[in-house]
Amino acid sequence: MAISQGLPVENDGDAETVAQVLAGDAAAYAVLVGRYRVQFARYATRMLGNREDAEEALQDAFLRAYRSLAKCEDPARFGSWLFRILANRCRTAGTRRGRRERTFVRDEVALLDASEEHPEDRDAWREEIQRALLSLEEDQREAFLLKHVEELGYEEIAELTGVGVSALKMRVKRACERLRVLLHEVQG
Amino acid sequence: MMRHDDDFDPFIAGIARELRRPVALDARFDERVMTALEPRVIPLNVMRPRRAWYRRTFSLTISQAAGLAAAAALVGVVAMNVTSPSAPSVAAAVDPRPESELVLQPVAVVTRNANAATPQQFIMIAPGATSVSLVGDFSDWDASRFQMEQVSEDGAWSITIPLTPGRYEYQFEVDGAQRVNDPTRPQSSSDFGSPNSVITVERRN
Repeated sequence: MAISQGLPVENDGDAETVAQVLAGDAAAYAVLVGRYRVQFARYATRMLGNREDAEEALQDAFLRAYRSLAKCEDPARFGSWLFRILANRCRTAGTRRGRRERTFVRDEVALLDASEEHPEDRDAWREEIQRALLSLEEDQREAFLLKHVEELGYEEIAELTGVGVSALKMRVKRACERLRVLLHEVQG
Repeated sequence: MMRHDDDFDPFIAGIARELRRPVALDARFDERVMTALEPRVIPLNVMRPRRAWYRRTFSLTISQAAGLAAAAALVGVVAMNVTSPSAPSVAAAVDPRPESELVLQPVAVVTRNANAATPQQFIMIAPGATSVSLVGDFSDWDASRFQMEQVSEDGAWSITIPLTPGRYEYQFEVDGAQRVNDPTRPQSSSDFGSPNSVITVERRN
């Protein structure tokens, strides 16, 4: 399975795998972890700004989903259900961290991507992007990531977040405006 | 998932492209999650129906020496019951109601099966590959069963599958054509055909 662009919120095999886990085959849960960790890790890292917090939120989401698996009403959409748990964990983590920590550890996210031919050429720009992203209000950051990075439609985002489409459009619009200002300042 | 280009903005698209780059997780992330799942508590409403333990028949083979020891211990227990009025009676522990009226309501069941499958992660570095599959005797060498996921842009591919204890031979199939061995694991004997990589999954203690 190559990396897809959108959040894989629905997968043909999920219902069967969930049934296996519920029948007592705990090891089958590894299939779900492997299926969703990569893209959900990206979302969590962009939301929280560093890998440590992202891994903690992601692990917590996987464990909560496992413990509540019997409550997953539509196992075929396990990914969507898991993402809602993760989004909540990211919000909780962000609130806990609150305003006390706006610092962005230099290169932390950029280093995770250190696979380019000349990483030094783009590190500074990536760092500024992540810094600008973290300066957004949390709900704007969430909406921006889901719309532009995970490439979901507004209806899908509304389903995941429980927020109305018009409110989401406003959040994305404000996020884009803010990013333009912040990053043009850097470029300027 | 469809792209939604109704409000396409090249500047924002460039930012999104940067943010869309995959991030690497700790190599032991899956293992940490799966380890944290234990002990497995299975909700009772989804457990497979099992025959009640008190209705099963058991057979037990013991040596003569063990039999003598067990007999001696049983004598000791009976003697204690006779000589100590305060000791609880074995008979008193049995619910006098008929079996059909007994309702067993444990709050949860904790299971640990030494032969249960455990997650095994396979990683292959194949820069430039467009697809990598894990093939082995656990999948009848069918490349469509376990398609690996590219986890970094420098060509790392990964998959985690559950395997029960045992010895398995496997290879990676790159781009649907070339089959290569895992350099991190031992190889099987090459007496018959080309060697394969070997993974041995131990029983859980």
